[in-house]
Amino acid sequence: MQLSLLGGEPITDHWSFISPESPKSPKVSNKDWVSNEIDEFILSKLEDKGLMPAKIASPSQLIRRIYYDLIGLPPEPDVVKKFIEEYSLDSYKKIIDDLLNSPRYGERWGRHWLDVARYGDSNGGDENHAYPHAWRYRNYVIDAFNKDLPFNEFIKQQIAGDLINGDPKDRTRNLTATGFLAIGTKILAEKDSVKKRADIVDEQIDTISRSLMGISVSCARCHDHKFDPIPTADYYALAGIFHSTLIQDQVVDKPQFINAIAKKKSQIKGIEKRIEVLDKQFKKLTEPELNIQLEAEKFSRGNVKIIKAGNDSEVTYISDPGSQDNFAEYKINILKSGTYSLEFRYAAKSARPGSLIVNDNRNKVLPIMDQVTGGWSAKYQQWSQEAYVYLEMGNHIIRIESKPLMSHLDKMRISLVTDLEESRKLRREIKNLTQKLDKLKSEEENTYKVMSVKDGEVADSNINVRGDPHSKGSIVKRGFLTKIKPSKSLSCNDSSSGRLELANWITQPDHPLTARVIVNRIWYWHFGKGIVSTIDDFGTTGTVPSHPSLLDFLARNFVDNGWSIKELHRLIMFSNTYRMGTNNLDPFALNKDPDNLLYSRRDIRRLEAESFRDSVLMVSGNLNSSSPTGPLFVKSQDPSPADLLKNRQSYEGFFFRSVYLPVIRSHGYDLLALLGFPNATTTVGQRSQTTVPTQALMMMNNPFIIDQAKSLALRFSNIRDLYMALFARHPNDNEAQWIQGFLQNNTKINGEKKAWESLCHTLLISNEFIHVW
Amino acid sequence: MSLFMSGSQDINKISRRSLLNKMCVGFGGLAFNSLISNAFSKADHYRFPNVRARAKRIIFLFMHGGPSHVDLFDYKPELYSHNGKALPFAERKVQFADRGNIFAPPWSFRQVGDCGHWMSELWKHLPEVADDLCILNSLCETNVSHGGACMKLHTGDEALLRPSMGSWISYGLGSENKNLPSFVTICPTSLHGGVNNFGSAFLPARHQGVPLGAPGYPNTSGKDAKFHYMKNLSSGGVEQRLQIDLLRKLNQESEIKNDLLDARINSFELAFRMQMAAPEVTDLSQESKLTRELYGMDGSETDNFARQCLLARRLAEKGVRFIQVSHANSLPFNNEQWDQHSHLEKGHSINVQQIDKPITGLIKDLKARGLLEDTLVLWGGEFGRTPTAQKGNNAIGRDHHPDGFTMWMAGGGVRPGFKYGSTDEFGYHAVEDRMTIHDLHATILHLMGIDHTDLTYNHNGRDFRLTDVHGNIAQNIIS
Repeated sequence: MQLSLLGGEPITDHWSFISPESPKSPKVSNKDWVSNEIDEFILSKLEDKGLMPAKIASPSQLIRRIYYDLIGLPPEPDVVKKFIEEYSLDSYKKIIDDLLNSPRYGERWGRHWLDVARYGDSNGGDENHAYPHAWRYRNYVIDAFNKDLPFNEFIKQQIAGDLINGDPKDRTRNLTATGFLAIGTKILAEKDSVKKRADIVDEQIDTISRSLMGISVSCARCHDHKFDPIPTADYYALAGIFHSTLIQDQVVDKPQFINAIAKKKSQIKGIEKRIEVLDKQFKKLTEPELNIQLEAEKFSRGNVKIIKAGNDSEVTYISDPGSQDNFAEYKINILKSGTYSLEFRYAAKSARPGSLIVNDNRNKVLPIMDQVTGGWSAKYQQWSQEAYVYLEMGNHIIRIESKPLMSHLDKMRISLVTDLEESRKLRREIKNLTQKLDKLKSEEENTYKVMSVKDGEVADSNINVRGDPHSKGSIVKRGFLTKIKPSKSLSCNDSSSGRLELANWITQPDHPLTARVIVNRIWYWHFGKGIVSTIDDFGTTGTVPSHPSLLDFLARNFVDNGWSIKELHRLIMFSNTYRMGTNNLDPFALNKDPDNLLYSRRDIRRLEAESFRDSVLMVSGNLNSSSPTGPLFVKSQDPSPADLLKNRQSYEGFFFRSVYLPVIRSHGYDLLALLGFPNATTTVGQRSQTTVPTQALMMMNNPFIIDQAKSLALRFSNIRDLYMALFARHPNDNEAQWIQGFLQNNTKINGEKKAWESLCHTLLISNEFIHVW
Repeated sequence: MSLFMSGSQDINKISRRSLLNKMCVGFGGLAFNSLISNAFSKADHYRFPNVRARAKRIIFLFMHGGPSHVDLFDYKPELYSHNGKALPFAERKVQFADRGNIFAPPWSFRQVGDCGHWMSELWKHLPEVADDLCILNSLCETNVSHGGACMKLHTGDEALLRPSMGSWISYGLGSENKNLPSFVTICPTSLHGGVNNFGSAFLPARHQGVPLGAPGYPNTSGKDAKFHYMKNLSSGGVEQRLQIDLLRKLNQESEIKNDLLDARINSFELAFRMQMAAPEVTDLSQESKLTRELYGMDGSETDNFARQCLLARRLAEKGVRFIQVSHANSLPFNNEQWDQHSHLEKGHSINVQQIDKPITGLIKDLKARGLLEDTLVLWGGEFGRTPTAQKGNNAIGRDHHPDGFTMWMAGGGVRPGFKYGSTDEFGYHAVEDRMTIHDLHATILHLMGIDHTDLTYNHNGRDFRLTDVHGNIAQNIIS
C-alpha cells in the first residue's frame, strides 16, 4: 500500500493505477541489433535468459506482413517483385509511409477501433431494431484514423463532441463522434422504464471504462468492486453524468446536407403537386355530391382503440389495442347504384394488411391498407385509393378487419366513379408517384441525421441499493473515479452533464491508464498479443505486463508525440523486434521461451475475418475499393427465413471492403462470424480465434468462396503467378511437384478447367493464405 | 483458484502435454482451443462429471411464447369458482399489459396415470406417459418480457451476453461423437435473444450450438432442418479428398512448422467426416413407418414438430450432448407460438395438438430404445400466463406471467410420476419449493453430473458460472 499525496487516504499500489514514469534504457550487449528503444527493452530480457533474437524475416515475408498489418490486404505482385529486388531499410520505411497514407489504412485500423467501440447497426438484445444512422460513426472512425487525429482529441470527440466549443464547421464531425455513446446494445422492450434507462447508462459506463481505461467499473453498480479500488459511489458519480445525457438521432447542419435537403424537398414538392393535379382529375371522374367521407373513429360497431395523435395534430385515428381480431363497421346510405371508389387515409411503418367486407358478404373480401407510408405518426398519414366496389342504392354496412394488428386509420372516402377505365389508370399513376414520394421522404429523414448524444436535464444520481434502480440511496455528486488520480483534479459543474470534464479527465497526459491501454492495444494489433495480455483488463484481476518498462516507455513516448497513432506505428514497425522472422534457429529459444513471451521470434498470425474476405475478393479481381455511404441494406428485426436469404444475397453481392458491411447484432454475415468477427455486444479488445469444423465446412463448400476461386482461376494461368499473387513468393520444387500431381489427378475426373479452379480454391483456403508469417 | 477453467488453465489438463511443449506460437489459450477442437473424443481432458451423472445428454423441448400453466398442468379449482372476479390480492409492480379479472380455463382437468398427475383435457396423448413425467409447478422469478425471459432461461442472464446452458454443458462434458458437434439446436427462433440463446459468449466458440435449420421467425420448418455448408455444389468427395490431401502436403512442405497450422488441417478432416455423418443423422427416411407414425410424422398438424423430435432422438442416439427442439412458429391470429394474449382457447388447442403426439412418441421411443434412463427430457417455455384475462381483448387471452409457472422433466434420473412445488390457490405465485431459473440450471447440471459451482470460466478477471452466484439443487426430484 502507498499513501496518496493528495488526500492521505490509502490506495492500492497496483502498477496500472500509478502514472507511468520515463523508464531508463536497459543495458544490452548486442548493440548492433538495436534499431530503436523498443529493441533495447526486448533484447535486454532476451539476453538475461541467454537467448538470441530470430533472424530478420525475408523481404517476401516482410512485405506481406506490413501490408496485412497496415491495410489488411495482400501486396500486388508488382509491388512484391519491386520490393524484393530493391530491398533496403529505406525502401522498407518508404512502403510503410506509403501504406500509412493510403485510405485503405483507415479501413483497417478504424475497424480495429470499431471492435473496441462495439460498433453495430442494430440494437441487438431483444428486438434488434436497425440503427439507420450508425454508419456515419463508422465512417467518422475510418476518417479519424486516416487523418491521424490525435488520440486524446479522438476520445474527447467521442465522449463530448457535442459540448466542444470549436470551429462551427467541425460541429457535424464532433456530433457524429458521439455515436460512440449511442450505438451500444439496448434492451428496448424492457417494460420497466427506470431499469431500461439504468441499463443504458450501465452499458455506456462499461464501454468507457473498459475501452479507454481497461478497467471494469460495472461491478460497482451493485456493490463496491471486490478487487479494484472502485467504490459504488464512484459508479453513481459516473452514472449521474450519463443520466444527464440523452441519446438522440440529431439533424446536423453540414452545408452539403442542407443542399441535399433542399433538393429532396423540391423533388418532394414537385411530386406532391403532381399528385394533387392527378387527384383533382381523379375526383372529376366521380360525382362529388354523392361522395361520402367518414371519420374512422366514428364507427357504429367495433373493438378498435381510438387514439388522438399528439397535441399539435388534428388527427384522430383508430388502431388495434394489442394483437387481436380488429374490426370496425360503418353504416352508409348510397343514393345511386354504381361502382364506387374507396380511398383510405392511414399511416403505417410496416405493412399491416387488412380487408374490407360489404354487408357481411364473406365471399368477396377485398384486400386493403397494405401500404407502408414511412412511419406511424400523424405526419405519415396518406390518402390511398385501395378498391372499387359496386354498391346498390340503399343502406350498406362497410366492415374493416385487420388482424392481428391494424394500420393507423384516419379517414375513408367513398365516391361514385363515372369512368372506371380512366379512374383505374389514374389510380395506378398516383400509386407509383406515392411510392416514389415515400422513398424520398424516408431518404429525407435519413440523409442528415447522426446517432449522437446531447445534454438532458442535469442532475446528480442516487445510489441504487444493490443495483436496483427502484431502491434509491443517497445522492452522489457527478464525478470520476476517485482512486485513480491524474495530476489535475477536475470537477463537474451544474450547467452541463460533465461529459466534457470526464473526457478532459481521461485524456490528461499523466492519466495512469489511458495511454497505456491504447499503446497496448496497438501493440496487440501488431503482434497478436499485448504487453499486458488481458487487453481490456488492466485492473488487479488482469495480468501484469510482460515488459513493464517497455509499456511505460511507449505510453510516455505516445503522449510526447502528440498522441499520434501513426508515429507509434513507425516506432514499432521500424524496430527489429517487429521485423524478426517466425523461425528461431536457436534450439534453446523454443525450450526457454515456449510461449514466445520474450519475443525471441515472430508469432504466426491468422488473418482476421475481414482481411480474409477482402483478400479473397482482391486476388480474385472483384474487390471494389471505393468507400460506400448510406445506411444498412439488410433486415435486422424479426427476419424470416426468406429475409435471411435476402440478407445473404445482399452480403454476397457486396464487393466493397468488409468494414462497410452492416453489423447486424445476432444476425451477422456468417462468413465473418465463423471466422471470429465479434457480435458487437461489448468492447472486444481481443478476438476469439477458433479452428472448428464448421469453419472448415464453410471454407470447403461456401459457394461465395468457390465463385471467387473461379474468378481467380481466370486471372492467372500458371502456378508461379498464382503463388506470387497469393503468397508473395514463388513455389519451391516440391510444392510445384505436389501441385502438378494434384492437377493431373483432378484433370482425370473433371477436365483441365475445373482442375485449375479446384487448385485456386484449395490455395485460397490453405494455411499459407490465411496466415501471415 | 484451482477451480478455474480459463483458456490458459485448460492447458494443464491436456494429457498430451508434450504437444504443447513443441508449440512455437504464443497464442496461449487460443492455440490450445484450436488444438482440442480436434480432440472431440471425451474424457482425456474434461474433468466432469464430478458428481454422480444420472443423465448423459439432454433434450430440451422449448415452447416459445409462454405456455399457460393453469390451462395445461397446474389445476386450480378456485379459478372456476372465481371466474370473472377480481384477484383477491395486488398484482406485481411490473407487468406487461392491463390485467382483467380471473378467467377460468376453458378446459376441464383430470388426473392421469397411476401417479395421478393433473392434466387438462387438451392433452390426448401425453397421459399415456404421465408416469414418466416429473412435473415442476413452481418455476418463478423470471423476466416479464419475452426477450429477457428467453435469455434468462437459455443463458441465466436476462440482458447481458452469457454462454448458453448447452454451451456450458458442452464445455463441461465434451462430445461423445467425433463426427458431430456436441450441442445442436433444431429450428431455433431468431427472436428474443436469437442466436445468443445458443451462443457460447466468452466460452471457446466450439461449444456454441450448431443450428440445424437457420434461426428465423417463424422458425425454419422441420423439413428444412439441415446443417450448413454440408455439400459442395460443384465438386464431389473425390475432389475434396484431393484438396484436403494437397492442403496437408503444402502445410507439411512449408518451412513454418506449427501445431496450430496442423490443427487447422485436422479440422478439414473432421469437416470432411461430418459431411458423411451429419446428412445420415438428419435423414428421417431411414426410420420405419411405425416410428414415423408414432411421432405423428404424417399427420398435417403434427408433422413439423414430429420431425424435430425425431431428429432429436437420432442426434441423442449418436452421442450429441445437448439437443434443443423449438416449438417457435407463429399463429395467424397471434404473435409467437404460445403467446396467447388473445384467442387462448383457439391458440392453445392448436399448440397442444401440434406437440402432444410428437412428444409422447419421443418419450415412448426413447424408453423403448433404453435411452430414456440416461437422457433428460425437459419441457417448458420462458414463462407462464396469468390466471387473469388480459384487458381489452375480445377473444380472451392471458398475459405474460413470470412468477409461478410449470415445466416438466422426464428420464435422466428424475423421479418419475412426481410433482414438485406448487403455486397459490389461484396459480399466481409459486409458494412451495419455489424454483428459480438458476435453481433449474443447477438441478440440470447436477443431473448431468456437474456441480454447478465448479463449472466456471475465467473471463475479464472474473469466474463466471451458468448460475452466477445463485442456484439450489432441487434434491427432491432426483430419483
